[in-house]
Amino acid sequence: MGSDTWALPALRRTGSTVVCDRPAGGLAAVRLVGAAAGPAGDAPAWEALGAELRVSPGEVAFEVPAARLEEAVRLLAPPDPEDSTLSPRHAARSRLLARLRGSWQAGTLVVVGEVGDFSGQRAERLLKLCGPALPPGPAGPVAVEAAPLALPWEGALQAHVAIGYRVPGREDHVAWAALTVACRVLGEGLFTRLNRVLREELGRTYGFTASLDPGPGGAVLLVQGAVGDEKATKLALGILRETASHGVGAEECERAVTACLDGAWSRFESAAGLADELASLAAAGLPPEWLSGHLEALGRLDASTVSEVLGKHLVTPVVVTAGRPSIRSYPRW
Amino acid sequence: MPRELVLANGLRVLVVERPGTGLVAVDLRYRAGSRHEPRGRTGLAHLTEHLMFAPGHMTELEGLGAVYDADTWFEHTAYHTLVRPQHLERVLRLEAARMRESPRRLGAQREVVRAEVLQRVFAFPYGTHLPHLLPLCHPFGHTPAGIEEDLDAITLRDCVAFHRNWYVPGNAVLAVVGDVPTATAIELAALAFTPVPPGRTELIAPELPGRYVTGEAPPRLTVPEPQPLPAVYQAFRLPPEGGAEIEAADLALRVLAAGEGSRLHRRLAEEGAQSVEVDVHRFAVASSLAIVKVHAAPGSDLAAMERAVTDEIAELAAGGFRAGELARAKAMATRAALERVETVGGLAAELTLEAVQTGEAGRALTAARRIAAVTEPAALAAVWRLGAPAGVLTYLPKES
Repeated sequence: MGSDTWALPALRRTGSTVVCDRPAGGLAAVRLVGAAAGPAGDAPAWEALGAELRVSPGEVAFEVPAARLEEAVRLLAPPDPEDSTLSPRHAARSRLLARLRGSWQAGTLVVVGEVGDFSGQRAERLLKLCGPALPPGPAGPVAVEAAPLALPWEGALQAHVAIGYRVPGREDHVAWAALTVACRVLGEGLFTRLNRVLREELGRTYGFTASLDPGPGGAVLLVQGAVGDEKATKLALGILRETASHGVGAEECERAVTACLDGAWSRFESAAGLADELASLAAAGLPPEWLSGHLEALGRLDASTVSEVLGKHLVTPVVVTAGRPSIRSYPRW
Repeated sequence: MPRELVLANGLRVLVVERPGTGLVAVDLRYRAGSRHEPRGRTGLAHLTEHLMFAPGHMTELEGLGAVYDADTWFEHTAYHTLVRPQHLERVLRLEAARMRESPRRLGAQREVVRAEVLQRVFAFPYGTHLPHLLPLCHPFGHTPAGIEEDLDAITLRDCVAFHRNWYVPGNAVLAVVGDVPTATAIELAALAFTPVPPGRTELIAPELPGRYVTGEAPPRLTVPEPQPLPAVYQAFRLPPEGGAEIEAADLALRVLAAGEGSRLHRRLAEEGAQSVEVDVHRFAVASSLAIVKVHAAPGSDLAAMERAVTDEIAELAAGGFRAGELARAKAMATRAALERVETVGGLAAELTLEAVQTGEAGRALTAARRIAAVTEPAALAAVWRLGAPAGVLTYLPKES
């Protein structure tokens, strides 16, 4: 049976690639992040390899049968062959520019799965990667608008409420670990604080979730759910206020820490799960070892630290509701 | 292949060892879904599923760091739990208690189910297509969401009776997959479930309310709903799950309508149709349907788009596959098959699904091989069998 704590598996790394060879049921998960992740060719060519491409700003992602991995990575290569004989002078210049302001050649390729002897160096040359993905610059100052925002949504049958708090980013290991535990306490199960009351006792929602959304210059602790009326939103805000002001108990904290540490096994079980995490770190300019530091920080947490972080950062909620503020009637089915 | 045994009370147990994963998945699936609901009690299977999450048990599961979930479908209801291996015994005992103990109170779950149906069916783009199509052209007649009037009428006594009738060992399949030695998993499963009494042994599903409509003109329904775009959904009958023909049919449908390399996508794009999305969904039950979906730009000629589907089927049947078409479909299907069983939870769910749908749990591990074995003539024969649609649903967007 497995060891107690999930550990970062062995990685093969070059300046711009992170490769993890591990069992994945015959699959490989690939992520290209940063400026290099531009348009990725025509969909039918990817479909012919069995890959379903997902392209979002700054990231190209897909899973593919491991036997087709080399072909798939070749499809990612930029089409311009002109600079294949790049001189050292041009290489130095282009790498410098990439580092200073990011050119299309800067990016990180993450490959996780049954990759065999897949070579990061060869991929780096093929994709013309000249530097890792550049971390996003610091966010500009944003004044938090505390007044709730209601987005009318014609035809909405429920009100979708999002409640957010600005919180520190992943650079602060202790705060991030405490906030991770806070999400677990608030909304990652039927009997967590929000769902125990709003779902199980009152039946006012199918469920609330709580998660951390990292971004430039910090992160957002995001609480979301679909509700029938404003009262449910007020109840949710009340539970959040109560959590911020009174913190968490020792037993509750210990259970949440255990769940978070054990949860790493399932979160990173699939090739895609681990690739997503490594790509997210690469996009933020953080090394894979950040994960080990995070798990260590989780293991050291106690209730007073979590309570202190919550009291400090869950101060001003921003509330956005899309739909109708109050659903008094809806078409019966 | 999974190690299989049947306990004295009739529970079928499947075990697959996956060392090094640090996890174990427990999947318990009952042959009890919306098709087993009595008349006037649609939605009963789903509401019963909700009631089986006893607060004390779930609090304990969350304390173990378990990830858990359940789903109710037409022919079965499944409970999925993922946990660290040292907690396997406790999880199995909690599952056995769920099988043994009837629900005790409705609590707020009727309202939770109402909120779930609104969120996942009626507030989701085109989430209403199965509730529309089932009464139109499938013997099941209704979906697990049921009819709201019925949901309001369900009593705790109904739920207790449903549990007593269907949540019995002989009507269930248990899979344990993960980082636990096979012998240990079998021993723990036997310890937990052997004390559960066999319950009813003759299980007779109620008569189905509907039937397949046959004939030249498929039944049609046009619904004005606040959906993002106009759309045409065409349902086609498929061969039964588990037979030799279903993989061939799946590949034929992928050639026809899955992805941007599909015939339909290319045809509609070449005809200049804007903002068109084509997709196919296999709705897998004993009487399966494939639903070919075309989402059209506002103002599009929906009748022409509907014709494009039947024309492409006819052309494919007459002319056969073009170079690379079947290989593309096989590559897509293979990746999807590998993804379904990559994780211990995925494999456990596939094992119980195959066991209740086809009787052959081992099929969960051979999908990629079966896809590779499909020949071009077999896939072409599947195109021929698609024939005319069994039902056509048209969405005309409207402002609410």
